[in-house]
Amino acid sequence: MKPGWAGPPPDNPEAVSLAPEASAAGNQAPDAAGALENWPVLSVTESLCPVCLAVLKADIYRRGDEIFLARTCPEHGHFAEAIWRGEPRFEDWRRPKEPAQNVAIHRPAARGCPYDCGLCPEHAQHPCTILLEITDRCNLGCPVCYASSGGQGPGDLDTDTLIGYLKYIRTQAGPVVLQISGGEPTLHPGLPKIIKAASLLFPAVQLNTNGLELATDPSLALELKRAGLSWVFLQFDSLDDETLVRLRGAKLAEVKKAAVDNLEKAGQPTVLVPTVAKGLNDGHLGALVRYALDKPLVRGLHFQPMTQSGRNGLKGSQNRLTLPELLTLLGQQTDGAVDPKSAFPPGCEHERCSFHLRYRRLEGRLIPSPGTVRESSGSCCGPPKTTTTPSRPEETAASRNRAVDIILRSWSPGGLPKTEHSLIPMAARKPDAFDEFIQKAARESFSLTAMAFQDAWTMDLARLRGCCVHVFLPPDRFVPFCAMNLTSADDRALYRP
Amino acid sequence: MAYAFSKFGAEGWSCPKCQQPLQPVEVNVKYMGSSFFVELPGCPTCGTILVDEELAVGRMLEVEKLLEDK
Repeated sequence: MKPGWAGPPPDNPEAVSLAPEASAAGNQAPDAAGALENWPVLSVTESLCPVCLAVLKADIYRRGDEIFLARTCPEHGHFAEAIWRGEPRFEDWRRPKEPAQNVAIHRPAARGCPYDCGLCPEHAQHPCTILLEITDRCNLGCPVCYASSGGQGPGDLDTDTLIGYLKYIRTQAGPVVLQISGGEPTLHPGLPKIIKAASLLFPAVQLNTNGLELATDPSLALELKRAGLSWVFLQFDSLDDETLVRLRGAKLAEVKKAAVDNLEKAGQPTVLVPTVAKGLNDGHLGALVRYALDKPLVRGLHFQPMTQSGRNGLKGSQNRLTLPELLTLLGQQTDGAVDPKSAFPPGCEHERCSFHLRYRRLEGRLIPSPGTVRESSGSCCGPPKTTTTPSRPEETAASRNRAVDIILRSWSPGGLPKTEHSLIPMAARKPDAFDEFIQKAARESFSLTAMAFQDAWTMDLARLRGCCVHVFLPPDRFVPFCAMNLTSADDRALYRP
Repeated sequence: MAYAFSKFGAEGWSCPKCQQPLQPVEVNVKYMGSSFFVELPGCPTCGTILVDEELAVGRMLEVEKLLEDK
């Protein structure tokens, strides 16, 4: 039985997203789109049939408090998926920008978006972050894994080959944030050497890990820090073992805490990354924030609402959490310390893909950073233009560099890696109150961010074309993150083997 | 009327209005809801403070960037 993705039958709109046992193709009708005409269409875009992944014209419409992405496949019927619920209102969540392309990495396209990612000329945004997957081995085998890691893949890629890829990525994409990922990258014996090579090529190197090796080997965190690792993205869904069994297949609460402690001892900045599933760990957000605030080198939390891509033992629309719902829960579970109204849409990726909140951390409390009001909607990509002329290479580079700089300030040690904030080197003058203020503000900064990855049910190709987080697909392609991990209703992958 | 600071011999800057050589003075800087004292060149007569290029496009800019978002 397929999970309950299908949209409303024409005569029963209440069934939308509330039918966990419905068949993927079981409640559509060829003329279903007509039933939607009663709902105000906010915009039109392109989406996919979740069954056959065919490109379809799609409507975005409001029904009460919910926003739906709806389309009809001639073969598999009608699908409508809730993509936004509650406040901030969908219509108010705007961040105008003029995307900046990196045409240097574009490749010819035959079939068009999303089938020719590489990137193809339709892609509108430059990368600011590239993932390099160094192994597909994993020591966890989570019931939920968008990368479907731990299967029958090639295992560890050769270290020298990977270093060659790093050089290629630097040449093609420029000085982006480089994420080392997997599989579980700490299983790769060449990891320190890979980090060292990456740190010489890129302004920041991030490690995406489940933390098991870091927890059991206290020397590993220090070794990776010394190799040049900038910060760790640590899978951290809950402090409750029963919840972790559901999401990760094991009682890992103490293991995760040990990983954080070892990273702190090594002086390694860390971002905790919870995958959030409605009804499972969406009530744990406040506890996670409080835990993080007690750890000086935890720079923030990066929430990832669960998607249906890849291996997902919890499949079903009933588990989907939208960004405004996540914001609302954060406010409720922090006694109002998190104000959803102070959340920003992003300026680099598509505006509906993420949010961020900036704070100072003061004695275990969250103090909103002054100036973080949504009205100040500047963008890393510059002010919106009135023309549609392609950006010049220098504009693209400036846009990318600004995005990378802001990422570094959020998550890196002291907020100021590899850059000198004065024209006169610190060594040549006496530090004054400005320096102390900058260092203190950087130390105290704390961020709450979220990224809403797309799957076959929520895929909006306009969002995909605005993506700036790309996975390197050897030997020479760059694939937007959500296209790379995309799988159909019957688990066929678009890009992964 | 706009004034421009000028270099005062080999010793440093002078005040464009009073023609006095600037001297280090303690200035209360307020930003991001915080305030702190820092020593900057200022006119002993009229109190005008010089924020030089090094400070304006260096550390002051850095403070602003701490508030920026992606």
